[in-house]
Amino acid sequence: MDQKDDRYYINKVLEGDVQAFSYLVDKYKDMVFTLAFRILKNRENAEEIAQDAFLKVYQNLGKFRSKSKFSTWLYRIVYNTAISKVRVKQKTTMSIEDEKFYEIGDDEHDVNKGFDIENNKMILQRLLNKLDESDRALITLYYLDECKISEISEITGYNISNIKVKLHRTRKKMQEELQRILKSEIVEII
Amino acid sequence: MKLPDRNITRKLDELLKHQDYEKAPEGFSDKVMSGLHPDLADVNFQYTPLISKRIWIFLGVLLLILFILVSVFPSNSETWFDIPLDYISGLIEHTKSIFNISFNLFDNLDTSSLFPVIIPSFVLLIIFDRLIHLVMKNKSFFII
Repeated sequence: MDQKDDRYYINKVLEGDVQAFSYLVDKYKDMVFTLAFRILKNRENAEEIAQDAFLKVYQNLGKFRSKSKFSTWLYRIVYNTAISKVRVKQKTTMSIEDEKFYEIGDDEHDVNKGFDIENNKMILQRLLNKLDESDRALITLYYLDECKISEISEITGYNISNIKVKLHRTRKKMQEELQRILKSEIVEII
Repeated sequence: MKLPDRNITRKLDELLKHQDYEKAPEGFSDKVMSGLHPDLADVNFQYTPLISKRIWIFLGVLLLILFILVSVFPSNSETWFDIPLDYISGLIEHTKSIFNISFNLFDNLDTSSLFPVIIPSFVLLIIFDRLIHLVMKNKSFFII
């Protein structure tokens, strides 16, 4: 049904109805922004990349063949654009905003307020901070958007077995970090 | 002190399961939409085939049946097949005389023209129609 809806609006855009594109923007903007933000760790850059990705999608809509889901195609564009941006940035110095982002995430005292929703969010943020950008993207696609492994393979360009291994290792890394966080919390309570 | 792995796994599952989407900034959609222009989109020259595949299949089957009928019942024998053709051509002649139409196309519309003219014309039309569709669909490939 979702894919049929997407195809309907894509066809409308291709017939010249530009406003039909707003349906696709509204439907996917949060996931696109989340994916970009998880990769870039900066809201302004994520917004810029998300807008850029939608523009690229619009310009190339005629080339979309429906062999894969529209969301897969869209996320691939977002992923590639964001990863390229990170790689360019890694060659230059880290921005002030990024440093702030890390500081907030690594503040040990902020997690000692019990496991309410906000704290869970903060802990998850800390766990994600320990991962590299492609692993953060994998976790986002697999656990948040519930993409299939084959779809993640299309989006990221990694082969299926590679993704399975990466997901396993990433979970392990997150478990170790979570163990460390919870341990420090218990020590503080005692 | 090490916490049991089972608890850690459960906690991690909970964190991953209950994670939320980041909300796109206010006015995000408007910003995207204001950046779009119809000319920017790859929407020009979207060629839709004149006749759908289903209709072509129907016409193909119809032609095949006609082909078999003509092969089984030759036009010079006195079969039922000649009757409608004679009737139709009579009607056409009558119409032509009323409206004083001068061209001679329908005079050739007999079974003898079915094999060398009508069937190949239909086939060529199908090929041409689908070919334009294919070229327009993959125009970037053909241009490159």
